Amino acid sequence: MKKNIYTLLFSTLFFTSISIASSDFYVEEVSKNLIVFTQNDQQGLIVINENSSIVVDPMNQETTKNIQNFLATNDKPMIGHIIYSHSHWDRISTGKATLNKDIEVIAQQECGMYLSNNNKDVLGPTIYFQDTFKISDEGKEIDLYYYGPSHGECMIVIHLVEENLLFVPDLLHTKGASFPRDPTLPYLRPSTLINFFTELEKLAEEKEITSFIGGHKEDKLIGMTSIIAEQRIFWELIETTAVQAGEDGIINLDNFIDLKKLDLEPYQQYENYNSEDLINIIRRYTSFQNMGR
Amino acid sequence: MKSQHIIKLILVLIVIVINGCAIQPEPIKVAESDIKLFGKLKTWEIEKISERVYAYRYTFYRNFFLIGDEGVIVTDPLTVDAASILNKEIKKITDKPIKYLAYSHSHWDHVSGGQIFKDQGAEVVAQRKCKENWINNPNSNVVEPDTVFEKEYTISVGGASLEMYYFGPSHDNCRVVFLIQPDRIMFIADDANPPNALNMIYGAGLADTYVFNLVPYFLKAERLAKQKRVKSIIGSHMSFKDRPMNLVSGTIGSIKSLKEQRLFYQYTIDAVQKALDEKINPEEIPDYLIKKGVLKDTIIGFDEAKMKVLYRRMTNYLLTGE
Repeated sequence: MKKNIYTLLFSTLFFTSISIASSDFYVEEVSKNLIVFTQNDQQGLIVINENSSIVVDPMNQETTKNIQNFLATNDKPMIGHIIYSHSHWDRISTGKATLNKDIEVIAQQECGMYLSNNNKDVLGPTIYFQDTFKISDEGKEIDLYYYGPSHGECMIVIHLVEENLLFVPDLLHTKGASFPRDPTLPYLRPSTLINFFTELEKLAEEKEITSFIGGHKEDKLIGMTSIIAEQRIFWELIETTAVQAGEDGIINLDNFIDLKKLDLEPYQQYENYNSEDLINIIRRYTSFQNMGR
Repeated sequence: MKSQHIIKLILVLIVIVINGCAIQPEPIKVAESDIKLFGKLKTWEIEKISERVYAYRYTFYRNFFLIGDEGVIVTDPLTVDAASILNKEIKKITDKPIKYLAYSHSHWDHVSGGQIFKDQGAEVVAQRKCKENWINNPNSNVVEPDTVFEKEYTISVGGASLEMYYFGPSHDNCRVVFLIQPDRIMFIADDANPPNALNMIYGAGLADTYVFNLVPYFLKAERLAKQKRVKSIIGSHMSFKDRPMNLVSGTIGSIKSLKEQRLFYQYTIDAVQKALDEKINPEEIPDYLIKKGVLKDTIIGFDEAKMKVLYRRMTNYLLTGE
């Protein structure tokens, strides 16, 4: 209840739409120094310091230019650091946007496998880290944590220390524990996914973090960190279902579940519920049961 | 002088023809299960490929083993049950010791059950990343390797050897290309199944597959095959002739399956790239390509539902790089 009130206050007090740079680009102020920008469906962050700004996931060339315009128009310092939350090009292709030559680009080490894959629109990281990385700039701190492959090989979690807020793209939804956006689960790493959520829960508890921001536009900008455990439980349910379905013999030769023989009730409580999606979701998990990966 | 030139030319042509249309080994069944899996298919069978090389199919999976002057090399034990059967059957064929167990990749459905060979003193070999996978997610039925390697490794048992090549992540992050010598036969687990690798694939979602390196991986394998004059490939799964459930043996076939497998991935990536270039909404690409009948006549056993998933996977890859 206390967390609910806190999140509500956080939402109503600080969110102000402060500038619209183009028809589908807009920014929202979470705190004096923390801005969430949205373009089309995607969200990233701008952290504003005295002399430079830090961008999390610049998305693409157009968005990067919009961010630069926003900073210039509002008399804010230009980009000094870029943090990649993970390696997916649709979130980090700054292209030909003119950026400071001394800019620091930070990514988790495993991203290198994809970023060295000859995409000239993606700026190569200048700093790779393994498990954790701290950015301390002009008294402000941003902590980066890597908990193993989860959504792709190298997704990190970003802790904005001053606001005591997490940025977790793709695996959490602010409305609550959800079905995934893409049921074919192209990037999901089941063998390390539960560990990712468990470590994230520990982090939230240790640092008393109650709120997070996701990587996609949603009705609610801020979600409660209690959703982390709820989302973990969702994936555990999927895994248990896949194991049980194998034991019950309701998986066909192509490794697809017979939905008619599955009790769908436990899934109906989740956001974005779609029974048909379960066919592909559970197939990924029956494959995981077979392969261990 | 002129006739000498003609003879030389004929000899060169013969060599070219022999290399290009290599006669494939005819597997001879040496043992099989009494139990049927379904239809006429038995649960398991062992086939002799050459004096040194045998293939072992258990349900829908296949491995191979080599018998040299000094011992036996076993690959991918598959399951505890499969390995137990294999062990008994090897003892009927030879009294030579099992010296090595080599893993093709880290997926449990291929590598479980190796303890029976380890107990006889076999040295277990795998690419380094496979060991990491088993440490991160252990399975009591998977015996961890004694020896790991990075790029290349060869094990020999006197007159027969197994070369292993790692070309980066592909299907799994540690799958290697097996090359059987001196028979010049390749084996790439889960892909390139003869007689034709332009078949509809089993798992269209490409779970645990590093799409970005699939085409480069097969190009490197093709280069290796050319350099080592490889003529044949053993399939780790059964291949489809024209319909998904019309199973044919496909134990061994032409190395052309290697190129076909590369083309399968290349064609699907190219089809999606073309749709993206045409500014088709990424969300709509699978339906768009299905509606246009793209690759319908190229992929054997074309399955619309699976192709939708595959096109979606390739769209995701082209947008994100992963």
